[in-house]
Amino acid sequence: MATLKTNTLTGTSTAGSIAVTGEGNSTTTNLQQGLGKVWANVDSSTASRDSFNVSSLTDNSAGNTTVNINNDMGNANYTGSWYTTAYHTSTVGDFVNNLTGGFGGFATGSYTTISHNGSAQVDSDRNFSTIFGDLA
Amino acid sequence: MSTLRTNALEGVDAKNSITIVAGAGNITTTNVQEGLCKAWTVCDMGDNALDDSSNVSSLTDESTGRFYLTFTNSFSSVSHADVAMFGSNGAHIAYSGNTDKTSSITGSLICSNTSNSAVDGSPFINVTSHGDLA
Repeated sequence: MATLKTNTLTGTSTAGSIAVTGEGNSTTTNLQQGLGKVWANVDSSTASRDSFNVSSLTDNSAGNTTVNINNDMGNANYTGSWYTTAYHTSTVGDFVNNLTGGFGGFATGSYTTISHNGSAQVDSDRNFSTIFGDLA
Repeated sequence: MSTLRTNALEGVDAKNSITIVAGAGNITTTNVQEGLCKAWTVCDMGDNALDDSSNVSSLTDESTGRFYLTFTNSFSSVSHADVAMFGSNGAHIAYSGNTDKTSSITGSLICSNTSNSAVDGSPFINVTSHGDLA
């Protein structure tokens, strides 16, 4: 086993592009493209339990939260996944999927999540989001 | 500060396995290859456009409310983990078991609007796939 010690990885031909051999040894994947650029575990009341590349949260209204990104994305055409669970005030458990919702919109410096109970936006206890795309 | 400049990374003992120290205590390691998202896209069922993507070569409109993505580099098995979000419509994802639609079920992913199959998803469809590449 060999251990390479470094603090930073940079592509040689293109600084933002490094190929990594895939699991099957026959193809490569791109390191930078594959890295999650933002992730967050937050409460709709804008309490962040933990996060990466998040500068702050904005409570727009009930069930409507903007996640402000620390190092911005390169454009608004990024993607991700989002999941919400129980009502903010629920006592039925963290992972009872009794709400719906999704992303409310993407900008280079932020994205909005919405939790909904079928008739109105409502605060939820746990909002999980991950973002993939191009950093600025 | 040290900076490693390279165009490609591969493991020494196994080309397909590189560990990286990632724990908060600077002890725990994780696997680079396993942790990378292998395919992602933001796309639109209205104009069938891939607005941006990685490792997705095309979007094919199968029918109203249903399309499939073709991966540039396929997965090694059908057991990859995928999440698809269809704007304001509920949705789920399903693998293609029908080989007349795709050459390999490891190389594509069918996405359908199960909230209303008669409606193409609203503009922002977000798909991410994790798993083992071929």
